[in-house]
Amino acid sequence: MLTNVPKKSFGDVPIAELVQPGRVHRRIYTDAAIYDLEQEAIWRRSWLLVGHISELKKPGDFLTRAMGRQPIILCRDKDDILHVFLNSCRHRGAKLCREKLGNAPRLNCIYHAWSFDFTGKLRSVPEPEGYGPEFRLEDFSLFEARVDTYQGLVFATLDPNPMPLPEFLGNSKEYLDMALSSDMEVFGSQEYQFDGNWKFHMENTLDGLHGSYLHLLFARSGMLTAGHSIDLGNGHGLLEWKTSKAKGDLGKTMGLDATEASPEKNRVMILFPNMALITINDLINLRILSPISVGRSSITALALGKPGDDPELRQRRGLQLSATQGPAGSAGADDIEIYEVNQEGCEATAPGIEWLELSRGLDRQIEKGGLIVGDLNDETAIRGCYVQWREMMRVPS
Amino acid sequence: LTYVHVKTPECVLNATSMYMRTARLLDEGDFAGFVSLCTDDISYIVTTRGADRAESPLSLINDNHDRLRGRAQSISRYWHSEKPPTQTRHFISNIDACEQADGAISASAYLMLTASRNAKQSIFTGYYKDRLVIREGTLLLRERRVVLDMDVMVDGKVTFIF
Repeated sequence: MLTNVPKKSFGDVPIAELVQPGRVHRRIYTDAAIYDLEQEAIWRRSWLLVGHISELKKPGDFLTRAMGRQPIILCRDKDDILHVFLNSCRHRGAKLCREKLGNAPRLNCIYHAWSFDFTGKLRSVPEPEGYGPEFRLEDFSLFEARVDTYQGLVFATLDPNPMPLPEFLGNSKEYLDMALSSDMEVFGSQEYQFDGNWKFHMENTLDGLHGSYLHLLFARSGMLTAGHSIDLGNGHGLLEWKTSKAKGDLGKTMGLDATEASPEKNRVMILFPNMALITINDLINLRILSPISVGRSSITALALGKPGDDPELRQRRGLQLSATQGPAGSAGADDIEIYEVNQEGCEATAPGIEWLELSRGLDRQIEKGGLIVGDLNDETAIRGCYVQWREMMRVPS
Repeated sequence: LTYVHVKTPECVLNATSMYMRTARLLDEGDFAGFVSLCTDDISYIVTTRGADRAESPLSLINDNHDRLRGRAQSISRYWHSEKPPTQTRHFISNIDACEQADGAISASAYLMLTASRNAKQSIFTGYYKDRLVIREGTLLLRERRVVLDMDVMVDGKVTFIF
């Protein structure tokens, strides 16, 4: 059941119809009403990545993030159980927890000192008699999201009746199993925002063509070689490719001179709608995406390592994030530039140019083992995201 | 190894001179000129206050000489996000410095950097912790650590040298 459903059509066209096979309408990136509907139809109904299990090691550990535009607290209770709560006091709605992360015995609201434990139960309020004889602490627990984990990834959903997480992950599990293990640990994070709709990040992450044109240093290095763009189903997508050795000393200047630990294949994956996993050379980079508004988004990038990493390898994993995918990285900086110029450019609209092309490889992609597989440079995986977008945006009247 | 820290007008003057020189080169877009003031074993790190406090091994930028040279080339030639180029202004104050027994200079300063491009102007504040050494008679930058006050890069990309 959707609550507070915003408008469901754009003129005479249902919003879901603004995405069609091989093309999408510019308005899906710029219209605030469509963004509002996405919040209800997608962001409140999907499993969202909220963190990694290693970020909460001890009882009382907490961190604050967002699910869509809803502020949340992710925490570990005294029985070692993970919880995700909406970060809002049940008294006057104030943001309960203001720190990015920490450890505490309770979650105390600064406004009137309502105090919650890490299972979300309201434990005490000052001067309770003032709330009347019917007031009961048990009626004011924090709103709790459903939580599940897979290979160390912590997912949560605000949907009261979600599909089971393994079913949601579907075909992506095989690739998550190859890249991750539950004993991995986060050893650092970067957080940045950009003036672009959240879907531009999703698209660009699965765009295998732009590496040869947008990222000039990568293109010049000759590191990009053949691979595939794969629609994994459920809106999830994957690019995988082999990387050849960089020409000259360009690998060194990009921090991408491969080591023995580097995998043979590089992969980037989107789990619809908010997770990206990037495994290139030694780098294992998780991204948690949160939309802030129709034209603004936030990314929390987590650097992952394996327990047995020697210090040198651990350092390489970190510097490859800084040097390539982060906001000051050789690829990351121009990726952010493209999110922003896409947003600015899509504000331009006129009869005849409303639809944007998303058809590359449509006539040559094939079905293989239940997956839709295209060339690395095709838009196959991106189209898979939009199949899910369209399905979820078909909101009943 | 015991270092003797001696604060002399000369070392403060040398540190000030290096800060002013690097700021002028960077603001004038001479990134190769900046790299030429760094030793071959330069460590150039930019991190955030939270990461610094947590002693995180992950920083925003972690460059050796090769990667710093690549960064300078990216800004000058490769990054679309630097076309048109960002105009930076490095405002540096509260400079302090002391000389160590080996002749190196430990320097620190406050930084405010404005970055203007198209309709956006971003402001970064933080501080430098630098180490200057003399190599073949020339004072060069051996370490530059920039700790930014902000934990979130609210204006997205970081395509300049602090």
